[in-house]
Amino acid sequence: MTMRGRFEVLDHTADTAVRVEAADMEGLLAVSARAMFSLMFDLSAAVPSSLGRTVRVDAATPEEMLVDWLSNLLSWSEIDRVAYFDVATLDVTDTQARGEVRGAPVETLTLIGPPIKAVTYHGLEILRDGSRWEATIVFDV
Amino acid sequence: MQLREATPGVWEIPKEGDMHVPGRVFATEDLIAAALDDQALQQVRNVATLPGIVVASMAMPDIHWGYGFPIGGVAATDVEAGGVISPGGVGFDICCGVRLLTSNLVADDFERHRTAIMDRLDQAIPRGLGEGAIAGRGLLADVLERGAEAAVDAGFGTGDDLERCEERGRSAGGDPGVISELALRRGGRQLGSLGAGNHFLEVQIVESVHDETAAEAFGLAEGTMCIMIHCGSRGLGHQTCTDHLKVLGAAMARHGITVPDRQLACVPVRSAEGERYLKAMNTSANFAWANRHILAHAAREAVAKALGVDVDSLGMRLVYDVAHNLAKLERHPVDGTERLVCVHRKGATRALPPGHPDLPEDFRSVGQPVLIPGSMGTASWVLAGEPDNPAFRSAAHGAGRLMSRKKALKVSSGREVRHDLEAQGISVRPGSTKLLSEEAPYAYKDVDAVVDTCRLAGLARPVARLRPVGVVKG
Repeated sequence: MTMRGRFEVLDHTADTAVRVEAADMEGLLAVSARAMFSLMFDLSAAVPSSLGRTVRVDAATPEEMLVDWLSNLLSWSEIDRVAYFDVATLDVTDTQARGEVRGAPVETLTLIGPPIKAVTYHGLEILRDGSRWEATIVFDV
Repeated sequence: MQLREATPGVWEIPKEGDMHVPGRVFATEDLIAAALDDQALQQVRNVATLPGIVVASMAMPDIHWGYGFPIGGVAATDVEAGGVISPGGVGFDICCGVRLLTSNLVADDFERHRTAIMDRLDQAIPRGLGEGAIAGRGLLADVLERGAEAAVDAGFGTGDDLERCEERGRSAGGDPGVISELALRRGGRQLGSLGAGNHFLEVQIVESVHDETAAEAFGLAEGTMCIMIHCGSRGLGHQTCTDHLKVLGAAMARHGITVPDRQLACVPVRSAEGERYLKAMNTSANFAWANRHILAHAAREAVAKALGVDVDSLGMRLVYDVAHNLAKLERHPVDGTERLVCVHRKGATRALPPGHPDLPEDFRSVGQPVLIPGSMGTASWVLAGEPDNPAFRSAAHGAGRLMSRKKALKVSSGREVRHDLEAQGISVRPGSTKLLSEEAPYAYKDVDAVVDTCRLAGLARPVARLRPVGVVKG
């Protein structure tokens, strides 16, 4: 799946935050996943291997779906010891998502930031302006 | 936002709009100025809107911007009057806390064996993202049920240690049956591991004593070598908070609750969802108590190996173990009447006064040790609880961050930070050298100012200042 979008790291006193932009909700989920693992690992030369998982989330709101999606990736990453930064396929409705994700074993990656403990709802709001979707996500580290 | 200094060192945010109580921050002018730079005071205001909150939404002198609650936040809700419990008032790292070990060793002993001690600790303490923990998954079920007591029965530490743990290292009211499979899988391989970020193990020397009687009761004398450990409930706690934020977020509408920040999701303590979260939180706390207990045991063994002596000869006795991310049901006077309240401490330490029956007999007369770690390059403090504490028997929990991680990275590299620390006589054993810069001393406030504010505000009184001589980081 081609990732269309970008992200930037923002200042936060105790934790870490990113602002993510994409052309649609699928893009927002895919770029957010990449952003989250980029905060922890140098992914500049990382190639996703066949190590994959299917992640499903069922939420009440788009914001909750985004948090659930990233929280699931984070949990499975810790259990499988794989950084799931690459989204191979993604089916999304307003509040449900099903994605095939791939990644690289964490032992093969260089740690560049503190491990993320969790994804927070703090200040989270998904903004839509035409074909531009934006969200700011704060991670607990 | 309005802010006024009500009395010296106590700042009030007047009650307005949807606030049920005022905000109250214990801080000097410099510390309050630092809090004005980000959203910390807005977070104090937001917490004041929680249903059932009593007296004030408070913040300790080390207040800084967190998520939901400010870090350093203290909020008590009236349990029998619909008061709520909020996982955001505990944090993802449930029962994160600090423990301090004293010893028979002095600064000269450390200097003679510095490299050996630091290398042994480096090998003995699993940390960072690395695979491995000291205890096997087989101990997990018992630990979730019985906390540090289960660790002692499995051969980690001694029964004497338990007397010197908050809650004797076992939170009542847990139920391992409410912990999710994901949480069990995350935590199953992490029992006896430090983690990363601001978690650490430090070797420290008691630099100065400020209260002889309390210091003697705590086993601290000038020149004594100590070990301080800061960590929590690892992935098990992180997942438990994540699980319950979702449940409580959905349940709020049924209870007619709205909050200004979804991270403050809450429900009445006396509700099915609230009671289930309390059980899960207490169970996760048992993991954290045991985790620190197991790490302390490994640290003792490492020092003994480094010196080539029997571990019992080191006198590495536990001074105390305190949580700083927890909610507890406690009785406190509110408007002249004793009430059962749910005290949330998010980056705040419980501080029991002298004479409190929950304190071990050998320091009941001086009050509970309050452990305030500073940054890697400055100092940490031991304080003692005071009578008439104005913050539901709470005190600060650290120096408090001043600078974002992004900014800290720009000041100097991890290699430079390590060089500077080593030049100050602080040996560093990092899990990742690069990450050192995010935790550099300049990223934190002045811990001495935080401690002095605790003293001025009657939160706790200084007992001893400890300087770091060795740091093991994730």
